[in-house]
Amino acid sequence: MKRIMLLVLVLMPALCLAGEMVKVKVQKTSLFDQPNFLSKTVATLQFGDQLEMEEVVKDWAKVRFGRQRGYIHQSALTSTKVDMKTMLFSSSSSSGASQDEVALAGKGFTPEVEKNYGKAHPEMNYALVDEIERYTVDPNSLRSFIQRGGLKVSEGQK
Amino acid sequence: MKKIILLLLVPMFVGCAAATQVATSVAVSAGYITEGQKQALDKTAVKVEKAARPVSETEEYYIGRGVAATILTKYSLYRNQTVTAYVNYVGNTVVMGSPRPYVYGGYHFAVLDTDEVNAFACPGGTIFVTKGMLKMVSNEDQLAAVLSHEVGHVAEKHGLQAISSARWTEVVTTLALETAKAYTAAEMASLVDLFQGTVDDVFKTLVVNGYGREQELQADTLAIGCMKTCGYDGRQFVSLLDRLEQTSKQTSQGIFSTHPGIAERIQAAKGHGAAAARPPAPEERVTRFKKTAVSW
Repeated sequence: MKRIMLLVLVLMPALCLAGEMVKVKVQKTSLFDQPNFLSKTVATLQFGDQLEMEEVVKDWAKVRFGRQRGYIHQSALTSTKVDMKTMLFSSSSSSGASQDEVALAGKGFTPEVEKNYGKAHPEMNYALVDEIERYTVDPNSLRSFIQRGGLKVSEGQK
Repeated sequence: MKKIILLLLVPMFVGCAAATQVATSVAVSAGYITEGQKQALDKTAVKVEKAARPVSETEEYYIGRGVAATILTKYSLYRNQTVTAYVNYVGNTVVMGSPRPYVYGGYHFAVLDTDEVNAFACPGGTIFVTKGMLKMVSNEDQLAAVLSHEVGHVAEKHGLQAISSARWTEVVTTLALETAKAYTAAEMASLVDLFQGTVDDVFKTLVVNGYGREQELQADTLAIGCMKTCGYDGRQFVSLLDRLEQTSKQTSQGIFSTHPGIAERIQAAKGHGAAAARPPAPEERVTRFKKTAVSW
């Protein structure tokens, strides 16, 4: 009996990781009304926002965010579930092992580390990097660019 | 007893120190292990948890910013609104056809003011293309080929693979699970040194040594898939490689020093369907390329 209890206790944390809540792992993204990058934005999502997973549509997830429902590309999501196989057998620093990206933010290489690195290396022109990152493409103009150029984007099928 | 030890190892080797601590506490209560053994197992679990962690996406972003800042010490930024806008339109289009359209800080495309023929993908999504490379492309589809290839490197995190595993183990095992506010001045100094080493590892691969053959072929495969998804003509990928191969016979600078084996890449690209016929590009696509190309 003791052994069974022990087995349950040992495996319980892994079993409990299965859940349907996911988090946004990118600074900012859109919740779309269709599984398509060019569809209407229902809401703007920020890093760490929690979403309830409802359905997977190809590379897209149908999610609920508060009272709103919509679609988000799965590459913008992180799960707290642990992919045991990947964790066990991956050794590369670049592995795509499933990990809670939101929980890891603020650890390791952080804005504080970058700030101190910048101080130690004033030749690094972070202002220029910021300038590059500030440049954004207007979604409506991009939609027009794609359509007028006879191009298309991938989309999930409902 | 052996079975008990094996059970204790399960949470430890999935990298869950907290679960191990629960399990070892139960094992001590039940008399299976001593308090000393518990402490040893708990310590090992913490070490395993730390070492198992790959580079997080926020760390990838900061490493990429460091690499971009380093590249900008070597090259000047080409500040032409028309060109920057056009490159970003094409870049953001191909991103939507990639397997990783979202990265922490988003994709950003910029032009370097040099005649050297090259393009660089910083981890995290900042992609540089040189004016020399822009002069090499003959149409928008070829520009899409260059940018798709670089997006492929980001999607596959090839830049991060350049980080010395010994350095990353040091980052993770010594410091990385602490929050920044908990660092002492000495720890922060050590972390900054490790950050610099990490940025240098990636920079050297991107700019000096180049990626490995497998990584280049993988990025090509992704690029062709990406172009097809977006409606660009994959044959232009092969045409561009043909042109690069011809140019490589005259110079060994820039991309030609870091991207050998173009002939093999051409064959592989054809094998991945890059030679499949597509309808001609609409007039709008042809015209906007020509209008923008006069600025580079």
